[in-house]
Amino acid sequence: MVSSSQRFARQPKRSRNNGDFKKRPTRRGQVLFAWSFILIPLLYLIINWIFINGQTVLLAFKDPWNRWTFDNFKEVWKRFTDPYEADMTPVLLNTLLYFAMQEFVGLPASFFVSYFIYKHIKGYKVFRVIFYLPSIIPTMVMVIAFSQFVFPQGPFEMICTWLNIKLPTEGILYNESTAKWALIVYSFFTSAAGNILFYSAMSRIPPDLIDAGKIDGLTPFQEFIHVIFPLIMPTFMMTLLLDVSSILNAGPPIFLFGNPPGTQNIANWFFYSVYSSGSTGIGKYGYLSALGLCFTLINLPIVFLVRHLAEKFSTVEY
Amino acid sequence: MMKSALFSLKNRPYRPRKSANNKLSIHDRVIYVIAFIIFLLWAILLLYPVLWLVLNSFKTKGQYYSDLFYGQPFAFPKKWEFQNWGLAFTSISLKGLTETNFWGMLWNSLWYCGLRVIMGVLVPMMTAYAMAKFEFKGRALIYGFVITSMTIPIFGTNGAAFTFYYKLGLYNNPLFVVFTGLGGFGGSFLIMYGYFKSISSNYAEAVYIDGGNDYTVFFRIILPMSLPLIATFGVMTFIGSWNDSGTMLIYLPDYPTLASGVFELSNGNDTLRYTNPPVYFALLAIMAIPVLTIFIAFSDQIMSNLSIGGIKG
Repeated sequence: MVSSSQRFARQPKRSRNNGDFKKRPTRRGQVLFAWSFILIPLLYLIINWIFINGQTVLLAFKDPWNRWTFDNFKEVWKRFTDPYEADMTPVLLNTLLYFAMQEFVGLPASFFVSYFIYKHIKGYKVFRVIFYLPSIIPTMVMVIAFSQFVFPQGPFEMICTWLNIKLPTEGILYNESTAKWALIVYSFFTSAAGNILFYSAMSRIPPDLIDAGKIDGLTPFQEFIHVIFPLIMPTFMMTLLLDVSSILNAGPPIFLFGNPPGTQNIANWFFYSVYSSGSTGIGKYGYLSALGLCFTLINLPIVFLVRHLAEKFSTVEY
Repeated sequence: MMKSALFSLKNRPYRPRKSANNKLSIHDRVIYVIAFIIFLLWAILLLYPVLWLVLNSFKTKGQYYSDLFYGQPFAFPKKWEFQNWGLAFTSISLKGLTETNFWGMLWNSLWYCGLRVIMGVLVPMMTAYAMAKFEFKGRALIYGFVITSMTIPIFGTNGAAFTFYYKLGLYNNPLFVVFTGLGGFGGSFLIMYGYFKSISSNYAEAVYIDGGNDYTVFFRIILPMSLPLIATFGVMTFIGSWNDSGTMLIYLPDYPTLASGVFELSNGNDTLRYTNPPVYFALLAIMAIPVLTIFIAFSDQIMSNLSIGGIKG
């Protein structure tokens, strides 16, 4: 049975209207109409997803002279395990560190901000807009503002001098031991508070449930843990699923910062490889594709596990 | 349930109830005060570097460097150099295969954003409408394929994608934007799909009775009805495209937009960021003005209608 509010199809072909019979679209006409709207986007999706992903797999097994080879995978193994050439290990470790900070520090901070905005803390409308601004202001502007702020002899160094904190002379963005953490701090401040997803989920909770908690004398912390968090679990699980699906993209905009030393992550490495090689790299992207394929195979079971958990915890009804 | 919770278009406004039971205890008040202080500090930390940048765009180059040298980075401009903002419009140029000045970059930004907005809103609307409102063979299969393509991440496709577009002749070709705009099954498709599912079929019925066909229903009824949705997606797509530098840097290097242009002007030692920082800061501020203006004009609509966060290029 087809709900009348859901489908236009399967209507009678003719009906009376002020004595005139008007021709209605036939079922065949409606199918043609629907295909006229989706055919080109569907072809694009097939090209973009099946063809390009297929090409990635093929490239992973080819050398620059288009011959079949496993050398790209050997190279991947070498660059993770060879004591002298393991240049990708720190890149992977950075990626995992950025992801961990995003999930274990950024997400709780997002909950904190969303909760108090939802509770209409004083000035919540202004805060909501300010926290969302980094998503509106061009990233390049935010990056340069931050970079100049922490530049040697800039305002940040001045504050640190007052607090008697010694900074590297070349600046925290150009020192290998501090650059990564500077970028993590940037990433935290610009993205954690601007996540309006949790706030939106909270605003859908029926006020009666909150009032019931109040009558039971719950503190804000208890209210969040026992009432709000279980009710926004579907949103949390969806966020987690999206984050895990794009785990290699976790991290700050390293490229816009000019690739500070020791900050590289996998996604930026992919991007920079193509940006720096461009058309001269065509035919030489075998190693890049093999690396991507390895990460895809490692990531897939994790994505399926989180997806399973997301489906399990997404049955909250209210 | 999960999808509807995530992608609902309108939130019911929550208002804390004011009753005797709702009075905050002292303990709760202390928590709220601490949270307020944290919010305030966070807001200052977000805004101050940007304001500092704008302030320094009014300094002379000499004062900017001498302030840094003498440890006075917080100093106000001694003489407000409004000329820097004028120079940002007239003096910058980016040397590639062809030389591009500010107006060239602005023009590139405008056509790029225009194409992205038109195609990025219209194409997903068409696909979402057809998928939500019509039954045809293979519909469930296509929907399943779309969801799979979104949730199964494939990494390292950059090289294959670049090779593909290069061989198609779309590298350094504005048609690249048109071609990639044909994808109507992205994230916005899912939100629009949910929206069209909730629209009654009575509107179509009325059009059929008046002798119209399905194209009339879509273009004369559905599109005008969906203006709030179009406006929200249009604004978010514009902001995302305006700020997108990566696509232009890789695929259209000879068509620098303001976003990719300011990136190029900050790399290297002899670029504008280092040769004349105040003018560079003015250029950054000018670049942010259009998106900020649009955001301020549509902020209520964006914040209340769109419950999916962080769309950014």
